[in-house]
Amino acid sequence: MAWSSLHTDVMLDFFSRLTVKGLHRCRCVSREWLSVISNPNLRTLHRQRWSQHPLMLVLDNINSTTYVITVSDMGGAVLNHFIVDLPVTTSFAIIGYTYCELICFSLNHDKLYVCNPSTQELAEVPNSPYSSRFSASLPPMGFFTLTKQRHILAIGRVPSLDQYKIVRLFMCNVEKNGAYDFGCEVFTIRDGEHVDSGSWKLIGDCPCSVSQTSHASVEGAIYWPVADHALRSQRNHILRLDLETEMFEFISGPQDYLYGLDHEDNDFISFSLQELKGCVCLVNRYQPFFVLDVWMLKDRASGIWVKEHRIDLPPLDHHCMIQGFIPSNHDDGNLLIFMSSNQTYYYYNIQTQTFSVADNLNAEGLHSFFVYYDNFFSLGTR
Amino acid sequence: MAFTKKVTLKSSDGELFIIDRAVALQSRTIQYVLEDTNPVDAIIPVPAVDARTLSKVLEYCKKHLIDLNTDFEDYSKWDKDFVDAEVWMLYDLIMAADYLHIPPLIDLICDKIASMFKGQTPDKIREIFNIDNDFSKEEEEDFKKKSGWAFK
Repeated sequence: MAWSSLHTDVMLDFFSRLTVKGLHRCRCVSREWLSVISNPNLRTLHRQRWSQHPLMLVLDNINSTTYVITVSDMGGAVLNHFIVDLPVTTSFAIIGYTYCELICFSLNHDKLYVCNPSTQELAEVPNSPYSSRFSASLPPMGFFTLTKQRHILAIGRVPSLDQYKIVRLFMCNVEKNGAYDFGCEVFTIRDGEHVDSGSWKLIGDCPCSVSQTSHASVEGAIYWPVADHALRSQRNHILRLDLETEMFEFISGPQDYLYGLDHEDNDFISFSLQELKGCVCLVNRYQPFFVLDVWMLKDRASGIWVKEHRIDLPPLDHHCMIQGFIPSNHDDGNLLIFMSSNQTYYYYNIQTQTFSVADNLNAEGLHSFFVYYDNFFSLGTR
Repeated sequence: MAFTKKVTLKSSDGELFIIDRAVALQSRTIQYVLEDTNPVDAIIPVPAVDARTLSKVLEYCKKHLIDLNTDFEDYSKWDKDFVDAEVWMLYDLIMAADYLHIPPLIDLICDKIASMFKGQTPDKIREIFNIDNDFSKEEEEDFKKKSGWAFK
C-alpha cells in the first residue's frame, strides 16, 4: 500500500471527517500526512462537514476557577474531555456563550478568558483601557446587582474575515438619577495570532439600553432585544451590531405579532433572541397559554419573519430555554429545550411535535449543555 | 437499438465482467465513456483496477441499484459489513472508487478509515496503515510538546 498514490482530494476527504483533536494525532504520523493536514483546503472541507454535525458540549463547574469540558457526539461518544483551570480565583463566574465555538469566561469586571474546546487552548484577553476606566468606579445596577457584572458580553464569528470578535457593552456616564449610557468596545481575535497581541477598539456609544440576559450571535452579527420602551414603540425591537462593519442598526420584530414586543409595562421584555439553523430567532412565550412561538428572520433586508414553530409546553412547565437545533437524518430534527422548573433537558421532535426527556443529558450535578461545532480556529498559544 | 443493456468491463488483469448497463452507470467515469463513445458491445477497459477489487466494487453497485425497496437500516447494515475488511482491501477499494468516481462508495470508505483513526496513537496508526515514521527524534519531541494535549 502506498498512501501517497491516493489523490490528495481523497486524503483530504477522509481527514476532514476527523475532529481537530484527531488531526493533531494524525499529523504526527508521517511527513506526507503532515503536509496533507496542513493543506488550507482541509479547513474549508472540515468546516463544511462539521457545520452539519453539531456536537454536545458539557460545561461542568467544579469550583470558581475550575471547569471540566466534555465534547461528545449526539450518540454520546466522548470526543474531547479536559479541565480548564483559570488562574484567577473569584467568587463569581459567568460564561459569555453564544454561537458556541469559542467560549468566553468572564470572572470579574475586567478579566476575560477565551477558550477553544476543539484545540483545548485557553488565553487571557488583555484588559481594556476604555471599559475598565468606568467599571471600577461604578456601582453595579439593575440586573448587574445580581451578577456583580458591569458589562454585557457577546462573541461572534465574522465569516467573511474568519475572525471572532468579542463585544463588550459597558456602563458609562452614570447620572444621579441612575440613568446611564452604554459604551461599546470590540476585541478582534485572528486565527493563529496570539490573543495577547490584540487590543480593544472603542466603537462608540451603544444607541440604546439592551437586554442583559438574552442575545443571539448569528452570521457575523450580534442581536440584542431593545430594552428601551420608547424605541420599541417605534418598532425598533432589536438592535443589531454588524461585526464586519461595526455599525449598529435597528430591526423590527414580526409585523403581525406585537405581544411582548410593544409591551405596555415600560422596559419589560418578554421575548428572547437566539440562533437556530443559521437564522436569528425571536422566541416568545404567548401568554396566557403555555405556548412558545419561534419566529425566524428569513430575510433581513425585507424584514420577513416566519413563524417556524409553535410549541405547546407541558402544562406545568413554562420556564424554558431553547438550547439549540439538532439535525437528524431520519426526520426534521429536534430542538434541545431546557425546562428550568425541574432542571431537565428535553428533546422536542419537530415532526411529531412531542417532547422526550434527553436521558443522556440529565446527569447529576451542575452541568450546562450547549450545541457545539468542532473547529480549527487557533488562539495562537502554541 | 442505440443502447445496449449489457456492458463489458475489463479489469487490469484481463478478467471480463459483463454487467447491466444501469449498474455500470453508477460509476461516473464509465458513464462518461458510455456517453462519449456509446460503444455497442465494446469492452471498456478499467486499467487501474484488478479483478478482485472490481468484483467487490460491482457488488456494491449492484446492491445499491437493485434493492430500491430496502430501507435505510438494511442499507446501513449491509454497508457496515461491506467495509468490514482488511486495510489493504479498503485501500484498493478507495483507489478504485476514486478512479471509477463513485461518490457514495468513497464516502462510505472514508468514514470507515476515519473511524479506524479514532483514539489511536500515531504509533498504532502507522502499524494499522503500514506507514514508515520519517520524522527525526527531535521532531517527535517537538510534536509531543505541542500536540501532547491531543494524546490524552
